[in-house]
Amino acid sequence: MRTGGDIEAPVRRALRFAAAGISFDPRQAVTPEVVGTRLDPMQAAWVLASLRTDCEQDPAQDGHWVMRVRSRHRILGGDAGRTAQEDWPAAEEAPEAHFVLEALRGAPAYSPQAIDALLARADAGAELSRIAHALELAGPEAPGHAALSRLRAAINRRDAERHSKEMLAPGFYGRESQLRRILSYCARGSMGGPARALFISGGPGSGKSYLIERAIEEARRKQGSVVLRLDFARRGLSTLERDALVNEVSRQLGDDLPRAAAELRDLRMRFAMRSDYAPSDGQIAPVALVDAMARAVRSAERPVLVVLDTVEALREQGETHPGNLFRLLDCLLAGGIGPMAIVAAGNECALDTATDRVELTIPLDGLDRAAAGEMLAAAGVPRERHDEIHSASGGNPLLLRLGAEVIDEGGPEALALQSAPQDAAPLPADVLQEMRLALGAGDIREAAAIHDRFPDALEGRSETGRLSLAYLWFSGRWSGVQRLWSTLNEDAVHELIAEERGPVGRAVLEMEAEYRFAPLVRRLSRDGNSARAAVAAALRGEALAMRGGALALALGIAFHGIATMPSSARAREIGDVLRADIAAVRARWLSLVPAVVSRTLAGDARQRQPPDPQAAVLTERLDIEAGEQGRDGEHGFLQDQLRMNPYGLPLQRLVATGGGPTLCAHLQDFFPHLPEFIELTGSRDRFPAWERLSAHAAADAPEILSALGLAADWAAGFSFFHPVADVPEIGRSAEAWRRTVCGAWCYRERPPGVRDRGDQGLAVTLEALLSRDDPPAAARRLLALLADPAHPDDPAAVEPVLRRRASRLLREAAAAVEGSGEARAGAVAELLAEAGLPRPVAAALAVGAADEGATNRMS
Amino acid sequence: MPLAELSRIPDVPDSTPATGDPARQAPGYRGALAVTAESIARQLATDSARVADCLRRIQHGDDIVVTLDILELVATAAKPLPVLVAELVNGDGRAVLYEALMRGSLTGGPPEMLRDAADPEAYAVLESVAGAFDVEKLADLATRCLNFRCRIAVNGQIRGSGSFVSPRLVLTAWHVIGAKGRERHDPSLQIEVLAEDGRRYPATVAFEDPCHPDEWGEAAVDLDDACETHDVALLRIRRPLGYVLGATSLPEEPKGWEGWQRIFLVHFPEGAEWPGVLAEALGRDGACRLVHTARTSPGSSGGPAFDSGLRLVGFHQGRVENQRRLVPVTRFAALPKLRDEIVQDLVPRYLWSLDGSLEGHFVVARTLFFDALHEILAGRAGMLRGIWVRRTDPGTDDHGLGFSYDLLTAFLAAHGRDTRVWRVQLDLDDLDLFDRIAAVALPARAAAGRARSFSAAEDAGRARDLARELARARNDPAWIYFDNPAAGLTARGQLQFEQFVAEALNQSGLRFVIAGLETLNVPYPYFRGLEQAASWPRPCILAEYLGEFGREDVTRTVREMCASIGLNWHDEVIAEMVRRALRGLEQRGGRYRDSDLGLVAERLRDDARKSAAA
Repeated sequence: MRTGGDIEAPVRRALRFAAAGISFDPRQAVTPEVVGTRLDPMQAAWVLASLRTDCEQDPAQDGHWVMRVRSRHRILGGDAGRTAQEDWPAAEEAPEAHFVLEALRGAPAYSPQAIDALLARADAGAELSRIAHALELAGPEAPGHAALSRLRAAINRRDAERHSKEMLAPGFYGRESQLRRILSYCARGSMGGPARALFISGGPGSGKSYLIERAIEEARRKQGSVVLRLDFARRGLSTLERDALVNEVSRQLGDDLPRAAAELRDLRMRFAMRSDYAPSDGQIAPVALVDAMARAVRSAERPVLVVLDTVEALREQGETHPGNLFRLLDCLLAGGIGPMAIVAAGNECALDTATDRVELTIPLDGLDRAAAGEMLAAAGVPRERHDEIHSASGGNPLLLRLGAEVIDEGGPEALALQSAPQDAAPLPADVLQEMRLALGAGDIREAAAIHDRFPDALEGRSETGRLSLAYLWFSGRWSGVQRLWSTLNEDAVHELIAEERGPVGRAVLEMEAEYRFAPLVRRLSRDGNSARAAVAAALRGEALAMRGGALALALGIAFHGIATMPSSARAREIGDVLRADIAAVRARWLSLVPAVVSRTLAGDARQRQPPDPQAAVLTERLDIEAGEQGRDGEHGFLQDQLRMNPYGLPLQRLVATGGGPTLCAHLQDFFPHLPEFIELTGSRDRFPAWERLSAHAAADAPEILSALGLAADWAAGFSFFHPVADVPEIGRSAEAWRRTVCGAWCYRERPPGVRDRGDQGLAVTLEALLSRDDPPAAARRLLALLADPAHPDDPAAVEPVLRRRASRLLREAAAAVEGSGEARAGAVAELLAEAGLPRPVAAALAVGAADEGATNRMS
Repeated sequence: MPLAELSRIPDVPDSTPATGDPARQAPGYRGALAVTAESIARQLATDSARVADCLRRIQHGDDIVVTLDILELVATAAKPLPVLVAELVNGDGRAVLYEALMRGSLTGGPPEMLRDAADPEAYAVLESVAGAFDVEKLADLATRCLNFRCRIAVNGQIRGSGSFVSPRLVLTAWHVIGAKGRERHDPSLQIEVLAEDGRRYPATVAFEDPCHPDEWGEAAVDLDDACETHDVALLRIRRPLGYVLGATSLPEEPKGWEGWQRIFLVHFPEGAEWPGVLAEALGRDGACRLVHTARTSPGSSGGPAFDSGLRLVGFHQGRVENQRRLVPVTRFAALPKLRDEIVQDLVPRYLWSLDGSLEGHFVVARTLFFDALHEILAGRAGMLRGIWVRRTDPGTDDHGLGFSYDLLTAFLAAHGRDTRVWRVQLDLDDLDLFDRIAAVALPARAAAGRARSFSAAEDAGRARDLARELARARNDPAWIYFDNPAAGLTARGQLQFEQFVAEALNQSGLRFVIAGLETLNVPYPYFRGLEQAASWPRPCILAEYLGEFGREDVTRTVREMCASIGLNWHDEVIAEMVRRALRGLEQRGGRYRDSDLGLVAERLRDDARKSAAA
């Protein structure tokens, strides 16, 4: 026989040994005391090999094994378990080794009565975990197993109390009046909807969470509140996942009301399994679970305190999310969970989209001198430094604490160091090389994967920093770009462009065009070395590069100046080689320079009769180009120009490399409305095939929007309503380019001969809206599509944003323009666009200006 | 003649008896019947990791595997480790296989072997051409060939050579199993593969393409380049031996050559042990047969030939009028059915049995799980970072969840990914979850600690650091498997778990499977359809639901089994087998309960065994 003899009985006994303890030395499992006989080493090996299929290395003890829970239940359950209880040879000798067996036998410490007594103790501490773990391992056969849910609830309460103590340990200073108001509010819990909250508003470090923690502690102690705390900094919580929220609420309720914990867990499991498999319409919380929670609260006769922390994170997920959350709380109230008090905390704007749900606001300003002094004194800061720190911190509690630490460690000088950018630890050379290769090959997904390994804190000049900068730029993560870009001064930028001839240099050149347009144009026009470096960068690293955009404009202007420059001295300075390179750039970039520039420059070149033959070639090429592109008349020509908007590319990459959930969800919802959007913006759909490309709406949408010439409208319009990262930055650049192309120059360095004709694209959209049967309705619809395409008939997502971001601008614009009709509307629209509102928003808001009554309606 | 060797086969004294173990009794056989403790001691001193690997491989497919670390635990002064290893290997009768596997690690390679071989001419050839080959690589290839080469016996007589090209498929010349005047092999023949583990395996024909009828003649035939007969066959055995012994691979885009080129031919002339020979072959682009200079004999047919780049260039076909010929790989590698058979065996889309054999655990109703793994491994679902195995009924047997771990590891192994899956137990113990994961995946770190003081911000940072560290730990994406906790998690444990999953999702170098934990709050979307998950532009999870199965699930398992082990069942037979497996089971709307899967698997296995035996 393969096993070298009959080892069935020793294996059985070794399995029981392993199942009965927590962790064991495998050598002990094959001793005669355990297996009942002396084994030959080979037999022992077979016994251990058999045992190992049910065990794994103990993560907490080197060299020890631990049996998997399900295997224990199999071995200890049923008849086998009873046999094990009777037939256990080593129980007396190794008490720790039969830890689980004790629980299985219902030994005194594990009896239901003992567990009840343990749960009643305030100082149970670590014993709770030990008993719970033993019962978990012993399985359902253990007499005390039914208490597991209550034990878990007690562990959670213990952890929460420990957390609360740690958080409140530094002491409570000031805010006493606010605390009293909160507790007074909590005492007046509501039994019915709609759910309304006390809102604690304040910036970072203002002490919101601290105040809430203290309020929770007091509410528990003095009012016996059941506390349900939803912190939206937690990534798993979103109102899109309503089920997850209800699960979380029921879990916390079970922790505070342990007698209901088992039933709630059971319902949660059933709900999680069934609702997922056959989901409901997503609008209604699971009735059975809500009923059970309500029963538990009623039976306990305790009020419920719902705490909503970091609400701004919820709003970042989407403008409608705070409202959705309150609708869910309405459901809980309607289900009978109450009396309920709701306390929310977040930055000042966190509940702007749900103002009707705010019953009372407590703004948190800085601590006054007395409270701050008390706090600093407790931190050991000498009294003579208090004023200095208070002034520097503005009374912000977090800054006060940091100030105290800094002074303690190294004096006020250290405070400045805290904000200095810190370069991260260098990455391995092969990772950096991989990133270079990925960027060079244009594989943005691969680059994204590699960038995951990059540290966060970076300085733009370092090897890691420059690669990170290039990746962030090419992948559309422009909010990250700006942080790194800010660490580069002008010299550093020039150095990077000169040193980095591949994708990094190209990325930095594009950034410079975007963020320092005028200085770049001037530098390229005047400095031969810079121009040479820029030419090299512009001709290389094209795999991921954004073709066109601000860089094309800058090069077009700068090199036109060089090419037509009559001075032979300048010609000598830049040299023949550079001249040839410029020609190459022109040849490659000509089609990317918008006509508003290229036509003008060409006209300018014609008038001057340039001596440079290159300029004559330029003129000829532009004539040809203009002739081709202008074939469909001015409107078609404009549309063609808008299709050249290159800023759809970073959007596309942003989505492809995992853009934010709001962005992707919006694109997904927006896509079905695209025909309507095209119509409302007055765009011409000369690309009817786009519908066939819509298999993956979110992924393909940026490309399709670009192809339709709507990239700027969507990006700027979306970010007007949704303050998520990256898209606003891209949207701003895209809109500036669009306006420039449409005749309203938006860059600082205006080329000679370029006149401001006004934003012709804006006029087109305004005309499209005014030509509808009901222009205000069309305007509202256009805004709704950008605000919340999933619910375009619901004004909830539009109105608060308009109130906050556009009402003042609209009032001012309307007051500044006289007259009436379409001309007035056009002027208002132009003013709004100049003030930074994107085309669809500016046009929609200006619709009302054609008729005063409508203005009021829009406002 | 053709294959003069072929026609001479009946005249050659049969040196391999019809009974007994022909491999061990073949002329020149060098394999040992037993290993000694002394040789094991030397191997352990030289390369104990290799010994551990070979021990694991000779027990491939066994339910219980005795590993070297277990033997270390039980070794005593009276029975030291080398003795125990020798006892294990010899006691199992796997000494031949063990030795075959260990040969791959011996130094020297072909030069030594050829010095040992009684063929001074071959050695001279080696000496003269050593510069054309990278001798070290050649040594490696030659030693690997010693494992994946094999003999082909028909009705008990060795008729040719072959080589494993996938776990179950052997490439050989068709005429080894065919006969003059036939276009298909005679199904009544008993075909066997005699592998280097010293065992014989009944084989079926998975693919055949006969030789040209004129090649059976006595005279050399110059076939037209347009000749569409390739004299190639794939033989299938039921045990996936290629996992253990290794396999050569067909080049993706085989290229021909012009003029003379060195080749290395591996074969069994006269059925005898032979270490391989260096020779030259005359290439001509597009030719359907190539001349070569290696000395061959009957029994060499089907032996694989490699070029100096160690790529398979073809196999020896035969000798006519003293002219040896190869069938170049360029002629048959692209044959769709042949390639499909190999690809299917190499990278199965579905595992019908955990170890690919009738003895292994049968797998039913896990199509989505395998499809997802397949897409991930093929690199077509870069943003699909995890699979969440969920139950649709709390009464669902938990075994199905835990079985997912076995499925995952078996599937990765079947795809040639030697990736260890980090299996993490989740329970109510107050071990810090991040420490626990680190202890499993990064054992060099300090042992896991008890829960630390609570700080969500600190935990978020630790989750990110850990996920990054794990992602960097492997070249291939690393896999983590989370077992379903028996009694849920504490609030702290759940929060830490959510944080880790959120960070793991952002790591392209990490993949995970979550079993159960249905009430988990996942911060990313999870999908029920693979197509949507695979094309989603952001990191996401695929949810697979367990709870019930249908007739189509059982049919899929049966079809995969038939294709995998070469059971030529017609659709009616398959339908009948499925009907028998499901008979008497409770069903609702054509859906059966998962709790009956065990019974269905047993019924399938019984019927398949009976059918295979018949």
